Amino acid sequence: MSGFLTYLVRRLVAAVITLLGVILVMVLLVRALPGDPARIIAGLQATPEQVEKIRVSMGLDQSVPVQYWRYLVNLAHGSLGTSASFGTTVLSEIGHRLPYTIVLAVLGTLFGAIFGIALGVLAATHKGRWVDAFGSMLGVAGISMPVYWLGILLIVLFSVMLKLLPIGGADTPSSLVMPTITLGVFSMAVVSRMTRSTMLDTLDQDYVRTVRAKGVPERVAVRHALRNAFIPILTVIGLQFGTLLGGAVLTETVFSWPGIGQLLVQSIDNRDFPLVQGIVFVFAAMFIVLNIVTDLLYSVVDPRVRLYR
Amino acid sequence: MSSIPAVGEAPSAPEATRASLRKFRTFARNKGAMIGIFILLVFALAAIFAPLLSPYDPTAQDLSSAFLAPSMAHPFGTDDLGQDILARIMYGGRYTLAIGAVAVSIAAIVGVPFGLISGYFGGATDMVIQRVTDILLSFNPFLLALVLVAVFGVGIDTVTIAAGIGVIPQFIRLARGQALTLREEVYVEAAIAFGESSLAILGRHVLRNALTPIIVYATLNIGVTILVAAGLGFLGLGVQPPTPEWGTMLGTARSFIFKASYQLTFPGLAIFLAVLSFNLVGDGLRDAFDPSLRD
Repeated sequence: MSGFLTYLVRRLVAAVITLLGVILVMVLLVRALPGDPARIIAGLQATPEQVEKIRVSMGLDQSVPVQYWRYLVNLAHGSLGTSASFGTTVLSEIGHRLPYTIVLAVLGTLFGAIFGIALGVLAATHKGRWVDAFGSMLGVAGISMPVYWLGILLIVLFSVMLKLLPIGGADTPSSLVMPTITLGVFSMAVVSRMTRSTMLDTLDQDYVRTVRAKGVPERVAVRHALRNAFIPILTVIGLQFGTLLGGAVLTETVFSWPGIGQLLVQSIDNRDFPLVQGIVFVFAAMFIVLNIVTDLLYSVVDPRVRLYR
Repeated sequence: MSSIPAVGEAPSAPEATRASLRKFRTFARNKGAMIGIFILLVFALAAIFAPLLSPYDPTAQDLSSAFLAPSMAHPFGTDDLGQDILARIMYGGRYTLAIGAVAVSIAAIVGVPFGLISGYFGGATDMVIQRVTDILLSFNPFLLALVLVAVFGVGIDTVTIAAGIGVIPQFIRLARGQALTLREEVYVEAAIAFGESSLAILGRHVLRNALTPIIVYATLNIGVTILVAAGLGFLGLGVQPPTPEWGTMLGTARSFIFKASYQLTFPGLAIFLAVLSFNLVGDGLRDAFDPSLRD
């Protein structure tokens, strides 16, 4: 158990260093804004006083190390600064929107995992047949599909032509259908490709052959194989979560889904960099935490996996 | 199909050449890859010969012929400014294909040396480079490009560079892994024994043998950079109108989703087909030349 704790601490330290790096990158990028960053963030109509206020509140009147340090101190006090366009705290803006993004990301991941695994298993158990060929086509098409175009196609079909689903927003549960599919298709494609190749490996293992030799129904053999194919599949689900968050920015924009992805695009349009910094930080933190959780899940799914030496 | 020489017959080519010939034949037999190459050729030819193929200027506005549905005169219809969409897609290929290729080249040129150094030397150098890679990876390609464009402004140059920087960490990772394996090879040990400098070994032996996976990876990543650049265009943060970039066209047409959904069909289809083709070709190259890279 102590080995496990050491492992966890090491991972968390690495995660904190990465996040410190992410913040440093964002601080440097704001400094790199062409011209006067404070003026750009305050906007063209801002009075000199407003510009000065932004300059002081963001620490742009200080040196980079001081500004960086102050951002970290504020963060330690639970503050990500003040939004330049809303005038409220960055944290409260993100707090309102984050649940929407999490719901969408979880549903998209579930959609991708369920249909991806099903498709991959079908392809592997019907290798070389039309189901397999169809699955491969769907797989490569899925990773090549621009999420924004897929979203638009769904809107044209289900909202404009069939008038079945709301075009956007988050008013009814049915508002979730199209964003979930749009976001989940990429994961589905990646997961199905991975599931197929690992299932082909495990279906060939001795223990599966033994189970088959005992004359159990084929689906029992498949279940045995799937259990052991699970680790690479889980890795892929974890790894593509970053891509999923990137896709969330576009999906939320297409469907006016009120999550932090849409907020990010808005704050870029408004040149509201305190808010941009905060959202990027949250995205990075979510990605890093999920990677650690994925690694921890391995050892639950397969006790043979040793996370630490 | 006589790849096996008859007994007593001298091998017509050195072993290495024959092996690569066999790989080329595997690649040429890959249906998906051939379809991909065909589609890319069509896009490339359409982009090069657009002035001969289309009677329309892609940026000539004619409000009297705006919002025309597809017809014989305008096979893909016209947009809100009366510009011919087919002409814009043909000319637009110039931008999309160039952005994808240049962005991936930038990523490879920057990422591969860092990755090779990281994997070959190990130790503190490796640790620093890996930490920086982790930081860039936690942004993911699209988010990183989006933030860069937000700071440095929109336009074709920034979008290309931003999309390229977005996939740099992927190339660092790949090259590092290659260097880690290759530095154990006998020929590298021999070179060290002969007193060759590390730089010479990296360039002459490690890079040369890592080139195949790098090329495969680059092909697969052109798709990613095209999606990123077009995604920025879709948000209005990419190549700016009137330049006929496909993502930007899609973003503009979005406002007319009820009025003229045909305007959304063709630019999106073009992006999808271009990315699909690069992925099909990349898959084919990988299966033929470096199956170890499979997923």
